[in-house]
Amino acid sequence: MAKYIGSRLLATIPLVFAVLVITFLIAVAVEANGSIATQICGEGATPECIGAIEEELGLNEPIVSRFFSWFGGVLSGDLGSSLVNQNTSVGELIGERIWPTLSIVGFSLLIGVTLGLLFGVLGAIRPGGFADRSISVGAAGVIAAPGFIIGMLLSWGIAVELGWLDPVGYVSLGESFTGWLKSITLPSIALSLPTLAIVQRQLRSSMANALQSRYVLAARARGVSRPSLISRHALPNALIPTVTVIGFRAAAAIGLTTAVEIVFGIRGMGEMLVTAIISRNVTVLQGGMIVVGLVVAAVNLLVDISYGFLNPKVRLDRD
Amino acid sequence: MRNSKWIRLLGVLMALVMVAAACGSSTDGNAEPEPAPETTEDDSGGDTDTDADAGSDDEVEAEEGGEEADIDDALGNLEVDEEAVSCTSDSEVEVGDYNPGPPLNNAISVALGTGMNPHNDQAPAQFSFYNWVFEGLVRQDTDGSVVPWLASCWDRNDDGSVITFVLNEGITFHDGSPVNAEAVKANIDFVRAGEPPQVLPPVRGQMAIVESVEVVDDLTVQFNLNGPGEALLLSGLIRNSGFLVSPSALGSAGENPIGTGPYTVDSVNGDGTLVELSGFEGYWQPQLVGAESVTLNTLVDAQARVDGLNAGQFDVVIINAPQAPDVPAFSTNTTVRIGFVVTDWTGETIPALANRDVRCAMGQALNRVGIQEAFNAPADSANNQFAVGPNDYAYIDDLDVADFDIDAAREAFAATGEEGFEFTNGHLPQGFWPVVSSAWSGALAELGITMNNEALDPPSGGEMFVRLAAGQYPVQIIPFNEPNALMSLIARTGEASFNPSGVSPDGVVELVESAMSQSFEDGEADVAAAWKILLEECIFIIQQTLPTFIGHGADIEGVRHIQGIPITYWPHGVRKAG
Amino acid sequence: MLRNPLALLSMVWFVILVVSWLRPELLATHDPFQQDVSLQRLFEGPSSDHWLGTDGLGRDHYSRVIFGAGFAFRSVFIAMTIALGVGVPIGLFAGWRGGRVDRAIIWVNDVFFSLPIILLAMAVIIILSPSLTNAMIGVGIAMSTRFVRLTRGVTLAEKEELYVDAARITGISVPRILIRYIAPNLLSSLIVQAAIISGAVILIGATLSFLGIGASLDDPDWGVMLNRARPDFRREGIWQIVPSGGALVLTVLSFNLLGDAIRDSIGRDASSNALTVTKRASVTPASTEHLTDDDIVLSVRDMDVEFPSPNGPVSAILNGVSFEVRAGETLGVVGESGSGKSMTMLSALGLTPAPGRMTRGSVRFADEDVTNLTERDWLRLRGKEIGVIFQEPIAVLNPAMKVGAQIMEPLRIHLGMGKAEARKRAAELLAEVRVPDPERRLDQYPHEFSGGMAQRVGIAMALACEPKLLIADEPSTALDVTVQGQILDLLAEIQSRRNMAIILITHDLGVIAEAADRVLVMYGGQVMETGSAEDIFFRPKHPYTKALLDTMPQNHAGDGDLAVIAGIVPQPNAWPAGCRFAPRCVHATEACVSAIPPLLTVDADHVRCVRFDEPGFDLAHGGSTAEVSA
Repeated sequence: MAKYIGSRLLATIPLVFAVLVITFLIAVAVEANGSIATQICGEGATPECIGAIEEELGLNEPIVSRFFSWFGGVLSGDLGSSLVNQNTSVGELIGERIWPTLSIVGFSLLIGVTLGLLFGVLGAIRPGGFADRSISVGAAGVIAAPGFIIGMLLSWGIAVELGWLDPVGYVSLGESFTGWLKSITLPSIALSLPTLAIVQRQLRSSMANALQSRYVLAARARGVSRPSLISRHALPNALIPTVTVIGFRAAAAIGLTTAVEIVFGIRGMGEMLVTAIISRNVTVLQGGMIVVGLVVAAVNLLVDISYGFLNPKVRLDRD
Repeated sequence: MRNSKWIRLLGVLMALVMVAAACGSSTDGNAEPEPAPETTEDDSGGDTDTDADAGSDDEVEAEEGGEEADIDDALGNLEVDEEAVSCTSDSEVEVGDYNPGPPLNNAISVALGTGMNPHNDQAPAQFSFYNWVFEGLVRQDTDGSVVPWLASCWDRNDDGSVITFVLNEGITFHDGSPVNAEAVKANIDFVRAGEPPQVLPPVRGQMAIVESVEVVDDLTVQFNLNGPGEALLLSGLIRNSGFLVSPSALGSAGENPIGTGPYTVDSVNGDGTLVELSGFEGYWQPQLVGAESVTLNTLVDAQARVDGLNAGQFDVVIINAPQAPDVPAFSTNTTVRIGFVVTDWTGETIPALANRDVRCAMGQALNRVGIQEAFNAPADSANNQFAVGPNDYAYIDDLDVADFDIDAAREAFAATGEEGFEFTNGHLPQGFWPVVSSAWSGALAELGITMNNEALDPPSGGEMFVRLAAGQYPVQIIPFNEPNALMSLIARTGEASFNPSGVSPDGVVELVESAMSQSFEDGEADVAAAWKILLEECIFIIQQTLPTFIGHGADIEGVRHIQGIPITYWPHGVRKAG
Repeated sequence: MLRNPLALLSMVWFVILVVSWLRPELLATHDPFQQDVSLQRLFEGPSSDHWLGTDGLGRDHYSRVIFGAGFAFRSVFIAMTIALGVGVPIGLFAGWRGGRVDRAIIWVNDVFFSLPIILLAMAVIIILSPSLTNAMIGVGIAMSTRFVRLTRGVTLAEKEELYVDAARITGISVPRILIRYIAPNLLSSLIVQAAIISGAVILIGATLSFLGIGASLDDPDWGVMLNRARPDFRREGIWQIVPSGGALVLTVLSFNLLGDAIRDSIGRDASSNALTVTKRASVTPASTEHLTDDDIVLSVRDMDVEFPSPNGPVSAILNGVSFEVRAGETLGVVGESGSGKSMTMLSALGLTPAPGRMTRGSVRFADEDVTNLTERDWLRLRGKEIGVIFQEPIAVLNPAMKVGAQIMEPLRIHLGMGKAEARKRAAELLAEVRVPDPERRLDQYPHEFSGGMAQRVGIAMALACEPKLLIADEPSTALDVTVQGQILDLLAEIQSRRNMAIILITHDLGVIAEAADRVLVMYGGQVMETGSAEDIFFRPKHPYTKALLDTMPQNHAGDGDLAVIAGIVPQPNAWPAGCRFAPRCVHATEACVSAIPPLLTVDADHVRCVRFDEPGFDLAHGGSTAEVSA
């Protein structure tokens, strides 16, 4: 197992490197459509200013050397400064904004995966039943609804009308645990529903496959009881493809958190990225993409490791 | 001396000021069928109070209440009561006790984008931050008039080319250094010579009329101008160039925002979306520090701000016009004026635009009154022209331009024999712009004219300006946030940058030059006459005057708008009861 | 698929959408951009001339929603064209080339795959400019990674198939192989995936428009409409977001449901599984009596098993099956694939796969009537008193469980052994079935076992609790001959030691000859003949038995082709009306096809042939004079 984890870790490195290359190329492409220097100079965009900035940022050098100096900077943690506000370092900015986003994404995954697994098992053990059918249709419907609509309705219904929770804002974990939990509840629910539904469908389908398998039949023929069949025999096998799906959903959730953050007034990565796009703040977008890429790589690593735990073929790779 | 180059320079600078003013606006308005039942407005009684403590609470009412607004007064006008500000009159600064109230939480719509250096960004959005921390010799009161502030009074010489200010005593910066003539001179010299990123050209341009600054004595400072230009000087001093920074911090104000204002900066988060301020005990009018601490939170979503206010998370928030009924209390001030300018009135790109009847038909198709109502604004302020109201000196009583009548407009356009044409209008994607642009596009469509609305990319005032100056928009919706009608004229006539054609109708340029060489009052007639030509030629199509709203809790008192800066308020005296 | 009501509704909605996309003017009532210039009729709810109300500028919601479909479809079109156009060729290429090229491509693909789709769309937007088209280009590129994976996976798998080899050998060019041979296999998965991804594309496009970086602000795009309605819906009412939000949700939903429906129609029916307990309708009792000998371990009388089929009548899988097996005896059950051998045993143990069920008959195990036994009660018999060895050795082992755990399971459940004791016993069992190094093997997983070893594990599991009856279903078919011999020897040895009854199911007569005491011949779900092994081989009573014997190479006389039985076993719902073997029987007559021959009793044995009693009927010689083609 250790060897497997090690190999997965190593595999992550080229992935991260690739993300870096891609984000750099994006910056270059953006620049081709409009100079960064002009943007920094902003309203004082005289030729002198533009020239000075270009000099300072080394925008005139060949691409490869620019990449390496940028890369060096990134490795040492320097992500540059915001094009819109040169006093702000991108790293600092991300450092503040990542926690709300991670909180929401994490909590939403927790809710979505837990309930999804639960409902998935329920749906599988009584296939075609009323519970299964209604969960299926409900799941399909939930996948179809965008998080921001659900967020808007939740915010309206629960926060404003019922007044149970605050409609906007984020309380950091450091300030208050209950405050933090309350502030991330509604956004996490809104974000979790598609994950819940997709995990449910996947697990139900995998469970159905497992339950129709020969080995489950053989186990039944050996007198293994129903609860045991479900939990000891079918579920571990069914979890294998499901874990992969969970990995996908985590990556998707990181993307979809944007709209939810805006609806709930949470200053997270999503809002930062949208604002960066609208104002063409390339350095912020780059920094954001790198961090997101890192988070996604970490999630993939976790998924791979869990996969290894669950699937002996992968873990042992003795064949 | 005045010449066209002069006009052009000023035009550029004023234009940039104005455009930057536009880009900060964030009211996201939408049409509403019923006009708001109550529009309470800041009412200073229309007087140009010489009392230097114009900031005291007595004069201001900003509560909900069904008071019928006196529109003209509220719209204000950039006037100066010369007698009142003169240094021969008596004036006393009221100094009370330092007694701040509970912390104040604000939710605003735009982030502090560029740091706390007041000289490097003159967007009104940044005023949301600067004016807590910085102040100037003078300030523009809510009714638009210019009143003394850090200065207690000023005088001019005979031909208006030398303006002398006398400072109030005992004012200090946050770091304890005194506010004296030396400090003022240091500031103005710094601005006049400044370069980006410390001082932006538009801010520098606000002091272009100043030739030199002299220290007369400790509290007396003299501005030697390039010619008669009190109006221009004051127009600059009420904006960024007038913010006084402690001389030790000049050049590093972004990191060390040391001003004279009622609050000091504790912290600014990574992207300027959370700013924390503390009350300044040594403020020169201590009773005006209303809160022991203040936070400025940026929330881009209007609904989120309102929700937060209603849930008690915030005390004061920027809201959109239609949300006024949703909040416990609000104050309003009609500060944003927009209109069409036909930049291609000579017909180079679109020949039909050279025809006055075509232009006037376009104006007739616009349901300005309806849009006013939709934005909870007083309906007849739609007819304010480019003055601020019928009482303003630039108001033209006998303006001959047709009112809204879609059928008549259609007929009129058809009668010109011109074919429908198409053009593009660039707008900022936030605030009321999309709705107004959409509405006007719909109106023009009735005539067979297609107005394509494109969102500016990147969405900045600078971008709008660049494209306009390049003649990309033959007809453009433009905001007018200059302090007065004269400034607006300067920016848009002759070879000013907001006049890409470079030409103005006969007589206009001369009238403008004449008005510039006189004081406000004396130049009234010329200003009015120039506007009359432009309006009756339908080169400028009469505007909307849209209100901006600030919502707040019922226990907040003292909220007053800043003229021309829609999304913030004067912090002096604002406090939360209890 | 059409009978699925949800799928039907989705198709209807889909059609409406397509019409809205192509000919919106047919459905819309107003110009979607037409504002109310007088600004009077704003934010209205539904009314007679504005069916879904109006928005903040007086524009008709209904018409805007109709035109909005065009935006949704256009975005899907752009994104899917790119996704498929880029993804499928790359996937085909990678899958076909394999090796390093494939690995390199997949590696690059995975990098893009991992990034959130919205982020890639945003990257494209920032490079170009905010517009729906640009957003969809980004989405398309992101989605192409999914299709690369899918296509590559299928190509890799199909590449190994024999038909591809054959094509290659015959010199067909690679592109042709890809397109004509592999692609069609891909098609159904692609369609399902495409339908579901289209739903996701629409959602992402709407989200980007909602954020203001997609379609432009006057467009009747659903996401934009939601963006514009957001500040107002609290005050002006839910109708501001219902039209656009509802259209969005319904559209994505219908794409998803359609994808599901397509997948369900081509895939397996997951509506029942090992746990489904078919409703207990009463079982008609058997019409014949069980024999009463003491040493009968399992006795089955007149068993009928039926399966409801999707298109109408039930199929009678088993019909009138009767047999018994005694302690210490090996009953061989022989017949072609599809004759019902395995099904008989499963049904006898109450393991009839749903939705099938036993409709008639009686089953006794030892001295207990188990015909209507509940699942719970079966638990004390299965694995303990009755052991089953299944056909496919590795497939019946749980791939995610260690082999030791699987062997230990019955020991712990049925015999109550503790962990250590069970482990010791499991090792002993493995040793008994001649698995070398049993201690180490206990900790291994099924995929580490060869077929032969796995089959031995299966035997060990079946024998773990020393059952009275062992049912061995083709226990050696998957193995080579030498191993086969060892297995049979093993079983015989254990049988003699424990006096265990064995039912040995096989289609290999050689195995029967070697191991069976008595033989049951089945065809078409019916018992055709029973008898002692000797009788069956030397004095077969049924033409089918004879035909089977004839096919044994040992019985082949002289030159010429090996004998085969002409024809094939028909499908369960296509049994002929009379004798089921008649169509293939060289001795068939009129009487054979008119009615199902009854099971005749001959001493202790049975035969189901109308001609059995016929004087002069001799199986050894060709047909009789009257031959009828069935």
